[in-house]
Amino acid sequence: MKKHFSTIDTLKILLDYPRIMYQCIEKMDQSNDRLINESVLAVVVRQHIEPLDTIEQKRLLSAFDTNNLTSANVVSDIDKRDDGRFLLFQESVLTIFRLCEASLYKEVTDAKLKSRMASLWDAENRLESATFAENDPDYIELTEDITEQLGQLLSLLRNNIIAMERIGEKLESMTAEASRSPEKFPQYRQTMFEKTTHLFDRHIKPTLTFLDPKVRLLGGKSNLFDTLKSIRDKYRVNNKNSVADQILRYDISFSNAFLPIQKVERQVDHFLRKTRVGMLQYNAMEANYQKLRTLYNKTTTSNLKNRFMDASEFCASSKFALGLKQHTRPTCYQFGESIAYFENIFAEIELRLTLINSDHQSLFSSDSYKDESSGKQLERAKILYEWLSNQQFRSTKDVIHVLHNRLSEWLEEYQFTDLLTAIIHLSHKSDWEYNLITTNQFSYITIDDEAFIYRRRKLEQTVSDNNE
Amino acid sequence: MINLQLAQILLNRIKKEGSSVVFPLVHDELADISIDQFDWLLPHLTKNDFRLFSAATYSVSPELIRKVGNLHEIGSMRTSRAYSEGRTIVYWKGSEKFTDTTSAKASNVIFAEQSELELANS
Repeated sequence: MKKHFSTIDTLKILLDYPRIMYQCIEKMDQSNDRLINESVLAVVVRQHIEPLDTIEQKRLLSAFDTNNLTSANVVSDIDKRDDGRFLLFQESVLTIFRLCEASLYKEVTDAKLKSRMASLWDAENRLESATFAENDPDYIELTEDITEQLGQLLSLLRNNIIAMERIGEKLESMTAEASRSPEKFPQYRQTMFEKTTHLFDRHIKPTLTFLDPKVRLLGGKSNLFDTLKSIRDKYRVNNKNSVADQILRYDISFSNAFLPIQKVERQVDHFLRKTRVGMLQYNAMEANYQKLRTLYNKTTTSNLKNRFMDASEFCASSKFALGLKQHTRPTCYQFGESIAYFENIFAEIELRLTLINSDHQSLFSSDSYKDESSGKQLERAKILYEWLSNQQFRSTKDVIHVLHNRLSEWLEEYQFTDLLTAIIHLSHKSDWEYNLITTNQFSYITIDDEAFIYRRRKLEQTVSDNNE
Repeated sequence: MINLQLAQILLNRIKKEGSSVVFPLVHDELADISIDQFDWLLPHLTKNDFRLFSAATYSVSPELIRKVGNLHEIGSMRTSRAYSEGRTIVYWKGSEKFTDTTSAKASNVIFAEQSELELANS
């Protein structure tokens, strides 16, 4: 017959070797179960007693024996399932171990907080009908209940804050670990990201909302601080100032808890954002790199037909590559030494000088344009035609752009309509030595925020007049 | 114009909720409509799911072209390799148009470059 320990002795032994219980609690948390398999507990115990001497081993074995645990009231229930017997530890025993090891602390969940809040509302309601008489046992019990609830709530939150504040260290160690094995890094980062998101969404945010004095709850119910205030007021009205003061102190403690949690929330939020952006960028680069890599590998075979990467599919799939060639790059200025080159430059200079000399004064007053009556438009067109007839042209690949540049320098409140007027006029001009040829290549020009996409018009000297 | 309004009303009656039908509104000789009316007409047409499609001679004013926004100038491009000698006029590749700077940049069209002009052969 095995010796049975008393509750206090059993607990002493449990606390002497706390690692055993820590491991059990971790296992329970991992499987999200409130019970632990008897055989799992036995394995853990055996692992831990190995280095000890025989007497101590025996002592531990009998302490952790299921019968002993049950009779000492450390285990409150045994559940028989298909895969063995499961032990349900007393919640208070688990709480002691969680208190000793902060990492074991279970983060408060939304559901937990809600149930706490509900019981507070319940107490508030019961206060409505309370007598507030010192000799009424109902009232005394209710007051005790309220203070106890508040005390529990505060300790729950405080422990959580400590656990959450350690999250910074956790993230740091995670990152350090991840950097040590670069090949597993993306995977690692993914799980880390998921874990942290869960923690953030399910634990930190609800706690923060719970403690936020400005939050409004669904259904018009009062939040924590409003409830506390209403309870406090009820005591005050009935001249129970000492109880009211006590509740006020709790109130202040709760408000104090808000700031550290907010700090943690900011840290985690920042971390999540950074990680998310980093992951997106990394994934994009990696994916495109792999695509290009397979394309490149195809060109390394001995088949000389595949000398170039077939990038058409790749270009179509990534918006970035499309139209990359057409981006304007700074063109290097090409200096030539041929006679034609210098002639070209001198001709250009001469042309610009005559332009500057001839029309530098503005012909339109601004109000003549604003009034958009057709008469004024006609007048404007006439002046434009006159100006056009005085212009000197030479062969160019893009006559619209030339006109655009000249008009924007010369004309006040220059608009695309003026350009159109000029182009249409030029295209009907017959008595000059140039041909206007419309090509099917597009270009665009801009005025402020507007753009005109047009077909380039070539201006060529007619052959018969070309005497140069 | 009255026909147009009538068609809109009838169309709205048979249209299913949430669906949209876009009709081309073909109008010969756009220049017949007074220019002042376009400020009202164009947004009105777009709102009622019509797309204006119209022909005009060169008599059409630049202001009108600017307001409509898209221009197909048919008859200015000629090919040297026509399939029939009498038919050298060709046209393809979409319209010349007015738009905003951002969408112009997004299209495949290149910005007109100064350097091309300066070194063009004379």
